[in-house]
Amino acid sequence: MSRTVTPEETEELFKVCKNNAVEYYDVQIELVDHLASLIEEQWKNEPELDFQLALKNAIKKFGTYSFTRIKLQKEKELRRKYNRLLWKFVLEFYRWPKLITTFVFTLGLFLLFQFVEQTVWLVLSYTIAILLGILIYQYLIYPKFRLKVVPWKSFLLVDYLKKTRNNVVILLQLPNIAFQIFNFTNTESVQNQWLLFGISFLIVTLSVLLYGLFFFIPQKVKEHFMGNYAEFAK
Amino acid sequence: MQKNNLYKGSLSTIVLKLLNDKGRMYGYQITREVEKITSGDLVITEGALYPTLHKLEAKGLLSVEIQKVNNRPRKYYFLTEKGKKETVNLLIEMKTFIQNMDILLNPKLT
Repeated sequence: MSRTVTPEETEELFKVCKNNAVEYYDVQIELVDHLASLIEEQWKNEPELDFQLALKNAIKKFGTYSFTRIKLQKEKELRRKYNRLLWKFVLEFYRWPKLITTFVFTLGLFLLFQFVEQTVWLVLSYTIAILLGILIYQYLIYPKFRLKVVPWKSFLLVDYLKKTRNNVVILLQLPNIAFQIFNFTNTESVQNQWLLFGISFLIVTLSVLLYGLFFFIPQKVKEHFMGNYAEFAK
Repeated sequence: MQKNNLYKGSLSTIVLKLLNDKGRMYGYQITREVEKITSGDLVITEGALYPTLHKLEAKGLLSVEIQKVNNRPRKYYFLTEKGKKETVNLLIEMKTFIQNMDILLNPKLT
């Protein structure tokens, strides 16, 4: 039986990752395992080799640049993964059978536009409703189902969720943008039926997108986290 | 090193093929297996392997499971159903590419 890396030495490998700018545990684990495997490989030939020396050789083979490269690539791929999931979720609403629901809501909104003369007020009401929805979500809904993890470990998955949540601040500009568009085009009431249908379509799509961003993605991230790192959840 | 550049574009196919044959593998095991199969001709660097694994995972071609081995967590990768189908397609593509390269490099003179 050849020598293996002890738990104390494993902890040291985690520190090496942290010192090389890889602070997330979910990225660290495979790098730690890789370094440990490189060290154990050396011990097969030289069982008496000092851990620090074996570690030095392992890092040399691994390359310090690899740590940052792997971390940055992982962050990029995580964003891509959830963006893909989000778009898949949205597209589902334009495929059978959910298409019926989307069509009914779009048509309903289109008919509502026929009754309301001032298109601008209906659009602004929608954007203000989104603002209120975001506030309710941030302070009442999100705290109930957010991912709670132990304070001594940081996770890329959790950080991704936080960043996504913080990015919704951009939506606070939505009423202003909508108002500026109507103001710029000097339009208060849209008469063109195709344009009205287009606005209805956009509003429904944005609503589906926001639902996906606020409820579907956090749920998926939570599932992925619990599937692999449940012991770190609080 | 020059030799390895030729394999760069095929790293995903190599990883998928290995996982298709072995079932599940961890990062270090993949690098060692490639070295073993190619008798050391092809060395996959860590800086190239892990980004490829993460990319394939993000695409939904690979899934992961974590197990404790030798007092440390080890991340195993395995093919998803989508990954199995993609591997078949990529292998067909690769074989066609190799055949075409062979024709190009060894043209039959008439």
